[in-house]
Amino acid sequence: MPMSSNPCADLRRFSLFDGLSEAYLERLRQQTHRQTFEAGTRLFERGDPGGVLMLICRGEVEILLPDAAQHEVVLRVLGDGATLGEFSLLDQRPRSASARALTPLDVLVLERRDFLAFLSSNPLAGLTMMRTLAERIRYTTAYLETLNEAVEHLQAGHADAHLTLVSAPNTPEFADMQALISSFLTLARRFESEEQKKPRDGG
Amino acid sequence: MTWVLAAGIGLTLPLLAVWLVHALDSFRTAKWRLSLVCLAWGALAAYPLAALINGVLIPSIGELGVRVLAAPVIEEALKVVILVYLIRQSQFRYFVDGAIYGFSVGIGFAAVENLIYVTSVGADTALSLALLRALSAALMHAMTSAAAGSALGRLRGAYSTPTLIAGLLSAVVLHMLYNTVITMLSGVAYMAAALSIGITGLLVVMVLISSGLRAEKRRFSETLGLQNDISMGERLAVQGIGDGTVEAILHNLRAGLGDETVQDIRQLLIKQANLGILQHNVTRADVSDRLRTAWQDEITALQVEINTLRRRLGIAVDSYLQAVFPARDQVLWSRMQTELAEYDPTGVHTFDLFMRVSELAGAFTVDQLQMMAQRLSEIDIFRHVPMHELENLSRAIEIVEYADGEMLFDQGDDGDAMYLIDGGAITISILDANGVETALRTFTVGQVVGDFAVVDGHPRSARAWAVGDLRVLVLQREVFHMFIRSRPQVIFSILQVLAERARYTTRSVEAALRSISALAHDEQPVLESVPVPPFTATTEIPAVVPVHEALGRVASRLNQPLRDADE
Repeated sequence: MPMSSNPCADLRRFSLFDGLSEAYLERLRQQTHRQTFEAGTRLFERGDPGGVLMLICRGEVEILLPDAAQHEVVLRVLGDGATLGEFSLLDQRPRSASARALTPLDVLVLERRDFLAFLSSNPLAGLTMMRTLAERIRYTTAYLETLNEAVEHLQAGHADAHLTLVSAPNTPEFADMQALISSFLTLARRFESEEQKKPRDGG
Repeated sequence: MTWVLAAGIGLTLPLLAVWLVHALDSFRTAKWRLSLVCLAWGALAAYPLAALINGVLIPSIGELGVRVLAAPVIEEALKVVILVYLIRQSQFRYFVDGAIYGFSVGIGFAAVENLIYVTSVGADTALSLALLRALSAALMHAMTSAAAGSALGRLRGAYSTPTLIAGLLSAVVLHMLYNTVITMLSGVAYMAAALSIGITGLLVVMVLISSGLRAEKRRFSETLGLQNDISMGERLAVQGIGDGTVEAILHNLRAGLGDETVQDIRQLLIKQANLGILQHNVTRADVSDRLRTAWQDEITALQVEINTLRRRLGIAVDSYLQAVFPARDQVLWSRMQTELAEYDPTGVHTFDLFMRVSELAGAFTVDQLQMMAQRLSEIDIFRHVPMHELENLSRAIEIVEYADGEMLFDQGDDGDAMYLIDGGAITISILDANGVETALRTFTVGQVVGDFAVVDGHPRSARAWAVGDLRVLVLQREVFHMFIRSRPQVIFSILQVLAERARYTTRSVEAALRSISALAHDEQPVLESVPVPPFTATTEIPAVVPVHEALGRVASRLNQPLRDADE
């Protein structure tokens, strides 16, 4: 993925702000502020109230979850240009994981009350965001439904379980979908070969 | 020592008056710098020149002649020179500015004149003379030039000789009157006369300003074509929406007042429009106490904001606005609300304005509104919207009936409304590429079709048929958007619900990917628990898709049961 020369300036890294005009993005940018963290600082804990959006300008962040034995496991590492808390800004659900600065960190921060201030002066931007989120929900739900149907076919033993999917746009955000398709096909092949090995039940 | 004190009084009281006038104006229209220039002109140019010329004339027409006839003309003419210069340079185009700058010239002139007078009399009378002159002569001088200045200001850049002469003439006449009276009188009568003429001058200035404002309002009304015998509805039809009269006025003001002040004025007008709209709601709309109280709270908040803005704008601009757009002129304000809503659909409560003029208003009783608000609150996207807002929104609901087998909308149609089922049922069916129709789902009483359409206007992905005698509560997307545009808090509460759903579906896809990938490659799959949002279930798009269950069964068949992360 090509690295923007200034990943910090590009609020479009948050798909939530997809579809907003340059003018709105600029006003939103004015509500953000920069923050630095030393390596090792805990940014937030699992269960924290959330409400803050972060864009990593420089540095790396570890996302942590406790495993079965309650040891903290690194789920993934995010670097320059990665986004954190996009949904947390809006939905007021507690953080689902903890985050820790792996290196010295430089982030762009947007807090909920500053986002609300932006929304109060720019309600039409809010309407655009509503459409963006609704579209995302429609798309992912339709996808999950098709996936569900295909998996049902597969485990019911239908020979031609194939995934008829809405065509996934060729953008990084939907790379997940494409990976899903290829993984599913691999799974389908494996499943079929396993099933063929099993003795047939007597009539 | 008394001379110093007297001189001090003679100078400071007038200067205090200038400061006072500017303080009233809150630095918004008249500029201090220009005021000081006028002050300096009055003190350092007009006075010496006038004194010189008067001195020259005394031998020919005598002191009396000078004082009563010549001096007023000469002094006013010299004082007004700076104002004429300023208006030709377009430094002021607003008559209250003219009054203030004129005031400053007069004060400057009078301050020096006072100084000369006071230092030329005996010490015993100096103090009282200083005081008297400060309150009479100084004010008189200030008021005559203020009168001339406001007359000039009314020209608004269009220089016209007759108006200039009229303005000067009134200043001169007043000055003559003053000089004559004080020459003829003495003692208490003299003081009384001096003071009353000073006050008359003040009245003249006020009359000039208010008649200017009335003329402005007349011009505005004429442009709108307002006549007393036409009803509001006809007027609106005749005028058409948005002929831009308010915008035209604001545009003209920008040149004289500056962008920032005009922005404040626009904000003030919008808030006043909303105040009128909400007050109309409170008195006319048949709603619950809960909603009425919410409106009253908003009215109170608006009044505070309006007062803050009016203070910031200053008395000059405020009285102008009050005169041009009087609060009591209901017809005018109805017209303005519509026009302001055109130009700022997110500031003005367009929905409430629409409710006033549409036939939808007043269709429901308070109980019905409360019931519908309750039903709306059970729809997922409205989960976080406050009840009083839902009640307000319910006023725009239409109750529609469909016969068995009637189509509500077709696949591909514009998603322009939401249908909440009150009786009967709706069946959704899709057409495939070959035109074969398959029934997908049936929605029954209490469920909703198209809740997402109202949010994003997505084209219908399926057809909808009425089953049995169908009765639906319909909310149009256009009306819903009108409602939320001026309510950012409601937008935020909807974004909250959408974010919860988007988070859930996005995480579900990611979790499914990881499980499928693990199963496909014969690895140990671990399912991260994806917290399900506390949705209300009344939503057309299914909130939960049980992919996890289906995958679990596949995994069992592969003898690799999915384990939850928390096990």
